[in-house]
This record gives sequence, C-alpha cells and structure tokens, in this order.
Amino acid sequence: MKTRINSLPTDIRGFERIIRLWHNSQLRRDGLLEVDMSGVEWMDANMCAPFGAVLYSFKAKGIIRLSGMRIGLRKALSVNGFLANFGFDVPRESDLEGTTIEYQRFERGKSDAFKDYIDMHFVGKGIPRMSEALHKKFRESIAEIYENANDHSSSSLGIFACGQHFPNENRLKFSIADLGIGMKQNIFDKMGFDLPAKEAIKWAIEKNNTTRQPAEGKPGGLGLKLIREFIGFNGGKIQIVSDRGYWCYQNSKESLRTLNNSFPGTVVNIEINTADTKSYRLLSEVDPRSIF
Amino acid sequence: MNVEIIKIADGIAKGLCVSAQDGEILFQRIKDNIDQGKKICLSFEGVTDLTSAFLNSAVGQLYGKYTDEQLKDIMLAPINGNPDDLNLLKRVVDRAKDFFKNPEPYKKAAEEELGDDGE
Repeated sequence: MKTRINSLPTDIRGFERIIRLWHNSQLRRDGLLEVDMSGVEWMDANMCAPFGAVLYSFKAKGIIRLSGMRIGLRKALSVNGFLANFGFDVPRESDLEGTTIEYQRFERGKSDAFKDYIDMHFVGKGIPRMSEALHKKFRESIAEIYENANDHSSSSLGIFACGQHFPNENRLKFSIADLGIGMKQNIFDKMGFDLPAKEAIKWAIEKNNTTRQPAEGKPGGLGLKLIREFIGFNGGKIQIVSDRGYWCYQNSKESLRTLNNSFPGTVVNIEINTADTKSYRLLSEVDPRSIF
Repeated sequence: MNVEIIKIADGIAKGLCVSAQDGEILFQRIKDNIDQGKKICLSFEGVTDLTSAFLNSAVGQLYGKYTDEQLKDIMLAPINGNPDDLNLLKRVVDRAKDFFKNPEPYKKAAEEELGDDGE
C-alpha cells in the first residue's frame, strides 16, 4: 500500500504531515511502506530529522520505498546523505554550495558521535558564514538539544539530526528528533502533572522547571531556557513538537497549538538569523570570585 | 594551601565541553581532589564550547554532595574563563544551590502556576 506525503516546510503543516505518515506506517501489515513523494514540491532539508526518525521506526519491520521524488529533491536528499542512510542506491552528490548539514542518526548515550558531528560540520569551517560568536552559540545550542534528548527520550531507536543553510534568507535551520518518551509523559511520570501536551512543552521551557529530582544527584532543565534566550537575541525561531503539542517562539512571542495527531517522541527545530553580528557578550560580567 | 588547578577541557577533543558524559568524568576528578583535602581552581583554558548539560554534571552535582559553605571555601575563583562561560557557570551554580537546598518550593511553585493556567 502507498501512502502519500506533500511538501515539508519547517512549520506546523510539515510536522502534521510527518505525524500522519507515522500513523499510516503503523497501520501497514504487509511489510512494505511506499511513500509517494510526487506531491512534495518543497522540503526543508532539516525536516529529514523527523522524517528520517519515522522511516527508521518502520525500517526494522519492513521495506521502505520512496517514489515519485522530483529531481531537485532527490539531489538534496542525496547531498545530505539521507537516501544513502536508508540504503537507497543513489550516488552521493557533493555539497557544492556548502549549505548542507548532513542527516545522521545517533545511538542514544553516544555523545562522542554527536561531538564528532559538530566538529566535522562546524568547528572552524566557517560554513555557513556567520560571526564566530554566533557560531559558538549555535553549536552550544544544538549540543544542549542533543543532550536533552539523550537525557529524556529513553528511546533505543536513537536521535536524528539534520540541518540546512538558506543563504538567500540568512537562515540556518536545524532539527533534532527522537522517538522516545515525550514531554507530556515525562512530566506526568516524574512530577505527576497531567498536562495537555502543548502545556507540557511550555512547562518544560519555563524558568526553574525540571523533571529532575534531587535524589537523581544533579540538577537540570536549563538547556532549553538558554536556547530560548539566545534565539530571542538572535531574531530566530524555535519550534518544539512533542506528543500532540506544538510550541513556537519567535519575535518574543510564544504560540501553542494542539496537533491533530501525536508525534511519537519530540522534535526540536531551531532557526537562526545568520546575518546577526551581535557580539553575544553579556551586559553584566560575572566576578569569578563570586561564582561559588 | 593545597590547590589543584583542574583544566576543564583536559582530555576533551577540540575543547567541546558539551556532553553530560564528559561532565561526569570531570565531576569525579573534582570530587576525588576535594576528598583528598585539596582546594580546586577550575581553568577554562582550551574550552571551545560549553553547555549547561556539561556543567550540571561536572559542577552542579557537587552541591548534592557538599554544603554551599564547604564549596564556597573549596572552589576558588576560576581562571581563563571568558565572560559567557563564567556567566553560564554562575547560572548553573545558582540553580544547583536552590535545587538541592529546597526542591519543594520548585514543585509547589510549578503546581500553583499550573493551577492558575489550567482553569
């Protein structure tokens, strides 16, 4: 049986379509998932992270076939390694424009592999072109997101990452997805709060909130707040999908939505303004003698 | 005074001090030195990137093992840190102090906030 998917922009429509694909894939009984991609006129390559997560979850059960792909899309998914990752016999094309941040799946708990990924794609590469201060903030942000997924998802399926630079728009989009325990369930399990999924995301972002308990030995819950601060300064955007919740932060405004269906894990997407030349030096400097 | 200067980035490739896993190793090193009666001076030399996940493991959890007063005495002013990294360390430390000192208010405040929003 075929299932069809349309364009995948990095917004609520793209996420809804990927979620629908996941639900359709769960109904397959014949061991074949054929995704008709003829309706994909546009796909933000970073959406390969949640798309790949969904396909990967089916991979163990059967065969995946992607059909009807337009030439431009096939090229983009070849350049970023997505197609090769799923065993499609497509020659890997080189990234002539230097705008691709490779699709990759990471085993949970393997932080070194993600550090290698950061090193390979970002450290000292100058691609995409942006100030060193912004580069550092971006690298630290995606590392925080990865560590957050590593910490909370409890999924054996791994963590999926992909990015894309859009130089004409001065935007860099990066997504990290996991198929583990979502925020709503995690907050319920650890804190006993039965929140609507969108409120659960909001709760996780709020100052001082964490599902960590002192008995676990260490505090947590600062990473997403720091990213929100950074994105706010930068003029970027952050979107989180978890279960049926959708949370977005842009232009100092939060928006929350309930999705039609639930994503079986969490996706975090950050979008940064690469033309930003702010120094990111903080207004008040900390006296090293007063830290502890 | 017996002071151990510990380089945060020691043994961490490219100075990417980002993973909780690496933070855990640094925590053990700091703890071992504290338990030997030494004072600690953290050096940021060689740190390229730094996350709260790393610092929560490396430094934040010290506040679950020792009192604020003990750590104030043991942990000396860090060296070679840029303002961003020092600021992040300060935030992690402040949060860790609150978290271990009295976690109930965190939970209570969260419950009250949810009560207000949820109705």
